[in-house]
Amino acid sequence: MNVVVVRYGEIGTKSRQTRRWFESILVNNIREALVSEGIDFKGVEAKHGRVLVRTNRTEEAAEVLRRVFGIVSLSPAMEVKAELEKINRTALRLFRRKKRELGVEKPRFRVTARRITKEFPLRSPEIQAKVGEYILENEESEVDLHDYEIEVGVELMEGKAYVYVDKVHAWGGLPIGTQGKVVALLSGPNSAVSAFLMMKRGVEVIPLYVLGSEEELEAVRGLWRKLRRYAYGSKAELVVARGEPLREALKVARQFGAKGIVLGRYADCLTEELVDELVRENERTDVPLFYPILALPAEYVERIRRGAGL
Amino acid sequence: MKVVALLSGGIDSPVAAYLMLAKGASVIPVHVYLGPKTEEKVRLIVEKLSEYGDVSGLVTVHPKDRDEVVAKLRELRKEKYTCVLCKFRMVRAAEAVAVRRGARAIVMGDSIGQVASQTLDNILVVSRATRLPIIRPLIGLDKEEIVAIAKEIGTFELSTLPEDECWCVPRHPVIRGSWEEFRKIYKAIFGSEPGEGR
Repeated sequence: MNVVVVRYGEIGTKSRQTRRWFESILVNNIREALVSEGIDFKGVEAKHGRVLVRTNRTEEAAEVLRRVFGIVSLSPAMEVKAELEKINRTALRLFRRKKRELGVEKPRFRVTARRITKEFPLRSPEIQAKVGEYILENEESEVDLHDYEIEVGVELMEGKAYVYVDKVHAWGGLPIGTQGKVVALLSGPNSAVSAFLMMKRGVEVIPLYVLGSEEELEAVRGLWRKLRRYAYGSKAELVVARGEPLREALKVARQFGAKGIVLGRYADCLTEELVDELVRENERTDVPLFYPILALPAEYVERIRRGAGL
Repeated sequence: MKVVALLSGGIDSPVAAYLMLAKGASVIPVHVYLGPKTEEKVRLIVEKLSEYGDVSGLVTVHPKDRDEVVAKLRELRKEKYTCVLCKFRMVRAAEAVAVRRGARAIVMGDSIGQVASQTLDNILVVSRATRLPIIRPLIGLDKEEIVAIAKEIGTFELSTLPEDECWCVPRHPVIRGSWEEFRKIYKAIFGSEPGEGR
């Protein structure tokens, strides 16, 4: 493999100008992620709604890039010249490798082709048929378009073909740095999930811990170490303060020009007592308070916590 | 917890209201009138939502001066603030209903970065329309996740029914709304401060 094909979602729906800006931030965050994890790469470029990361360490790169927000899915791929014979051979080689990996005698498979730019003479269904046929002729297998064990992907653009057999799902969201800053009060897992969800929406989160005890501070440092693995694109460091939490958060928000404060409040049941507390804390602030998990289902919050390793 | 939920007729706001209902909140739905088709849609959405919890009858607010306000914005060459101002006034309307009905929080379907009016800067300006807490259950969710919930609870097909197009949406809505500028615009239009802030 010599390239990782990176796909992004919501950015694609923005106006052209906004999209370019988002893409450039995404590309920067990808570079920063690879540099800070010590993964060599030859280049990162945005093209036709994809980002191509050229590297020989595609598996490791994909693993790191799963934590870059804005990315929907990734495929370690082989970039070859867009010629049918080359595509066929590459597809077969990757298919064989995947077949061994799965340990299946006669895998069901499909080929999914997409011409992102249209200069290749065959249309997508024709490419699928040709590549499928070639694999069938050369390897024990059967085609099943719906219930398949291996999906061979072929994406064509600008005279190159990108062939892959793996598609890794990432978190989606928006690239960090596209949405401004907020301060997140960190204490336990709920506050970490709340900060995580804001980061996922492209917000730069400034984590704040208000003492507390030394033991708790250690735990919060641990949480932030886990969170910052998703914070490529942000320079934020954990701020530690003494005093009343919300007042300190407001101070830090003013200092950093942050546009909101994130709180980890969670409730299984939304009661009148809870609204009393919301009213009280709200009256003391001049920036919005965000409660990303307050009204979310417990299972959802737990799934995010586990999935993110928080 | 008794809350007022702003329903626009779009995909997101019913999902926000639903999540509140699912955790036992009582919801007073408020809709700011745009046209008959949208109002009918919102009625159907409210009916659907009432399957999930305590939802009271829809309160439709009729803004009397919408055209004048939009004209003034145009005069000031500040059309780009139309959506922020509109949302600000929706929150004001929601607050008035909340005060009348004894609700103490407002629920909105904002999710960061989805559209131009949902940037942190604009959310900050809109938040200052009320002293009540605003709960935004969808703030950290992606559109895809919101759509999935909408489909599951049966509001998606209602939200995507035909609606009255808003004729005031400017070509380039402001992305980084500033409170200071908003204040000036507000004063120029209404002759008063937008409020002391929350």
